[in-house]
Amino acid sequence: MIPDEVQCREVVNVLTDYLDGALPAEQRAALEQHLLTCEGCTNYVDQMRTSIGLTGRLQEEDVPQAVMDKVLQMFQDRLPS
Amino acid sequence: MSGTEDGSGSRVPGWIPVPRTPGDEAPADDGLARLRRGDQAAFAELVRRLHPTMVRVAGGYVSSRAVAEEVAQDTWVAVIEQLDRFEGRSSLKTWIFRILTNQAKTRGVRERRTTPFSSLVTDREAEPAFPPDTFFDESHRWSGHWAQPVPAWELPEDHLLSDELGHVIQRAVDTLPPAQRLVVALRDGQDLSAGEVCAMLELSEANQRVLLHRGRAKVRAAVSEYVERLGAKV
Repeated sequence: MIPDEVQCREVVNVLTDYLDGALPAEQRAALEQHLLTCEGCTNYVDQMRTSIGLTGRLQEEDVPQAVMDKVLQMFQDRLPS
Repeated sequence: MSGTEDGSGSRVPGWIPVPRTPGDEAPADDGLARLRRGDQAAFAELVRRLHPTMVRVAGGYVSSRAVAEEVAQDTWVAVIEQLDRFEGRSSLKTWIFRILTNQAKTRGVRERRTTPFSSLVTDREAEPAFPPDTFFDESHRWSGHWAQPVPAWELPEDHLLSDELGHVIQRAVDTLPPAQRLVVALRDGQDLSAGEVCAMLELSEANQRVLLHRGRAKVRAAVSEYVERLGAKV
């Protein structure tokens, strides 16, 4: 990826690696250079970060009370309190 | 269940040891000591955090949500039984998900369902992450750049935390093709590392990345649609 020649499609394609910190330094620099001048990609990267953060909130879904009661009972029965 | 720490009885085929890095150590306060003391509140908190994703992940290997729920509950039984044997070589969460995937695979075999992860990769997994007109084509001077504007999301904080948006994300993840759903649920839903997920699902790094990329793009698109609808309402 050469800074002046970076296409938005390429940014999107390597974004998972970029967010994982797995992009080689040169490509990372080229991508960040592109972000300085491309509003669409900047918004896309921000949106992806927000979306990932929101997906992390899935773990806050409710567990059905009957299930919770059952596993808590198992926990209580099998471990010394 | 006996044998290895992950409850598989033997090391699963294709299991790749996750490289240890300083940040990869089991956190000091993993809640483990409290669990071993029989602290119910700590256990309830763990169940609240992990159970929904466990059902979602098990669902990729078995025939119905009801069976996936059973697999998740069986996993809790195994966790309770083996808690004292857990050596802390991975985080507690990673250990629990390893037990879950092993149980789900075993259950899938019993149901005569094909279980290797590769069998979950359906044609839908290969669907492009974007409509073809998202970027200018090669005939255009701006080939490869956005053909459609990507406006910033104007989401007030209270909308970000709303149940409605939570349901949008939940639906988006649950309707992903199975392999993408598992990877997104574990990577983004539970914040597991790429190495942990690859080891657990017996996936190559490259395949994991493609599945995550496509799954994330679809979840983002669902949020984007929600934001647009919200904008239209105001």
